[in-house]
Amino acid sequence: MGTVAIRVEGLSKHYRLGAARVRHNTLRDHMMYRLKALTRGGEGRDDSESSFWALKDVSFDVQQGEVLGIVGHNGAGKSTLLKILSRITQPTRGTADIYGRVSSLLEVGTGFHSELSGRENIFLNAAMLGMRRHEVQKKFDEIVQFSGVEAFIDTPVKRYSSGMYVRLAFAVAAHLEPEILIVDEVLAVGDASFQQKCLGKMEEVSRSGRTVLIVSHNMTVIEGLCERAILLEKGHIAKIGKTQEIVESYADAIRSLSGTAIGARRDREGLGEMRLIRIELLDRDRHPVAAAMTGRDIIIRLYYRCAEGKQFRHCRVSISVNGRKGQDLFVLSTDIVDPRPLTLQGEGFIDFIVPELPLGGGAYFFQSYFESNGHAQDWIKNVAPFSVLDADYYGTGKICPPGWEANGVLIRYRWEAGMPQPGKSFLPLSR
Amino acid sequence: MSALGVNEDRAAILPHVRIRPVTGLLDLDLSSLWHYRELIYILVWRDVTVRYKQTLLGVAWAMFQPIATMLIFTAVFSVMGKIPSDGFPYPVFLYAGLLPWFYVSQALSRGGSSLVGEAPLISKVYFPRLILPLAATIAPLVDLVLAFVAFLGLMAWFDVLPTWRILLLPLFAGLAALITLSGGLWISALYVKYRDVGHILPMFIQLGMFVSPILYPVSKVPESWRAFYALNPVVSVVEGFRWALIPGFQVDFSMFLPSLGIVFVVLIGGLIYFRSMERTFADVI
Repeated sequence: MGTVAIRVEGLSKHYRLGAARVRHNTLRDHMMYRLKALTRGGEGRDDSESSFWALKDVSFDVQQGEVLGIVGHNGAGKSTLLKILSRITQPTRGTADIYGRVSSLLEVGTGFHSELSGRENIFLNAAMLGMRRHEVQKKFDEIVQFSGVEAFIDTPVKRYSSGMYVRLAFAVAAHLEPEILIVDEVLAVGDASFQQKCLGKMEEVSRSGRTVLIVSHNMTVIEGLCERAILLEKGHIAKIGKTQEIVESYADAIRSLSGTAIGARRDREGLGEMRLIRIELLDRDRHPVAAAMTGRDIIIRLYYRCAEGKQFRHCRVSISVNGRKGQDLFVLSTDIVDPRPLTLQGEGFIDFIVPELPLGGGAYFFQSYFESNGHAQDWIKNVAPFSVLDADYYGTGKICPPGWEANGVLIRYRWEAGMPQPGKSFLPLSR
Repeated sequence: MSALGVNEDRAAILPHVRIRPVTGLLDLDLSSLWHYRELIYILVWRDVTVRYKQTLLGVAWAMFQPIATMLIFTAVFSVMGKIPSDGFPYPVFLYAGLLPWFYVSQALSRGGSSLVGEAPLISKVYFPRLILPLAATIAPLVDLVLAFVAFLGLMAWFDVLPTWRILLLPLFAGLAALITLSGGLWISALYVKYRDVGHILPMFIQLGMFVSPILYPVSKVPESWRAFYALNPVVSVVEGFRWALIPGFQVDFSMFLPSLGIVFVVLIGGLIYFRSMERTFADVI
């Protein structure tokens, strides 16, 4: 047994909707609320109707040097847990003992100021994350080099591309040297090569004996980094154990969640003036089907409804397909294949027509996204399951190799065999 | 169990923090401010830097604003309005009052909105929240110093020579900082909960100029109002500035006592209120 780095006991966080959700942002609202509470016989009764536990009786230990993953749906309490452990908000009940310096990265580039230069922001951001000035000075060159924005280090970050911005921000964070690192989904940003670099840095951090707590929706990241994980569901710990098992349970839980009617889904983000109502699968003759088939044409139909009397310009509708570990496989987006502006109003549907579906048999998930004028309107992760029945994609009677079910896409390819010329060998080449 | 012993040693070296619900009122924890002093410094530096980035005149604006105000107010209130200035040149008299007033109004409005203005920070990173109104109170002191340099020029123009009293100026500047900090604590914490503050604050500050002796001397305030008038702590600051800057300026120091008492009470109350509200900032903001 190692030493305990974090011991959480009976941690609970209670939100009164009166305090958190239905904000009394003006004095008048607050007085009206108090008045109503009085006439209804005290605030106490009102509470029970409009309160919830974001976290309830959560207990676990994290050993020093352990990398612990935290998974769960939106609203399962992951962020609340991280916020309590980072001391941003305090628990309603329970305790958490933390042994060691903590750095938490709940966001990339916390406190970045757009008017300041990259150099100035490094110092600012580092101070916010608890790094001492002399530490920053010592590591300054390393940070700049890691970020790859050397040439623009004295340019205000408002002139940076979003990629540069993220790289610089992560570079600062990557050079923190706390005993305990708390990370929330920061790897969801940046291009693929930079993500790879970040993952490498995270592995390095964990190998150096530091304790890491990481929240992610990407099961590949969790599997790659963590030995142990926690599955949170509605504020409780649903399961704690080996990452492999937790990832399986999470996938099961997604399956049951995405079975609920889309109209009843509360875990959506965006303005909500334009909403997805239903997803339908159709075959090439436009007959509704329950599942798609490998290699056959499929039409994914998204029914939407817009706020009455409103017209939405510059819309973007997209649907992406995730594999069983939550990894993104591909995205279908209206603007990519057809750059003409899309205007939506009232009700309607968008058909995405996919010829020869390149997915092997298995259970996939859809993620839907509506946008107008650059504003997210309706974004639902794991919005519905997407079943694909195995069929003969390659015309050989073979299906995809084991372990690849709902875990990648199929591509068309062929192979050829060759031989060295008589009397010669390839061997010297391979040296 | 040697292994256990080692573990305990290790645990003893590492800093230990216990996170638990805190409900007490008198848990001011001011020592954490010292621990985070570098953050205070860097926030002040950021406020000052950002304010004059991408401006042509840069820090000269900190001098231009009070000078322009002084010229226009002199024209309106002295030349046209014939407001007296206890026999001192009105521009000097006015500017000596505008100096602390610009600081107080700026620090109060920046300090008051310091929490709401940094909402993303508050919900994403931990640090003693007290740092925000504190840094917002300190940053405008830089403008005060610059405006003071311009004042030296004005004194030279009017042939007014400063006396030893000018050495006590930092004392009154410190009082001004305490006043704005105590106000800033209350206002910023209330602002998180009630967005009405955003409407009230600018009006409050604008009216504040007229209930403080900026444009007129205290001698114009009717005797019977004086006791009530002196409850405004800004009166003491303005009078203190004039006493320190203008040779021969008379001040009734007994007026300072009630306002000092008020500042003290408001400051302590503000600290307690702020600390008790601090726990819910991230949830409410």
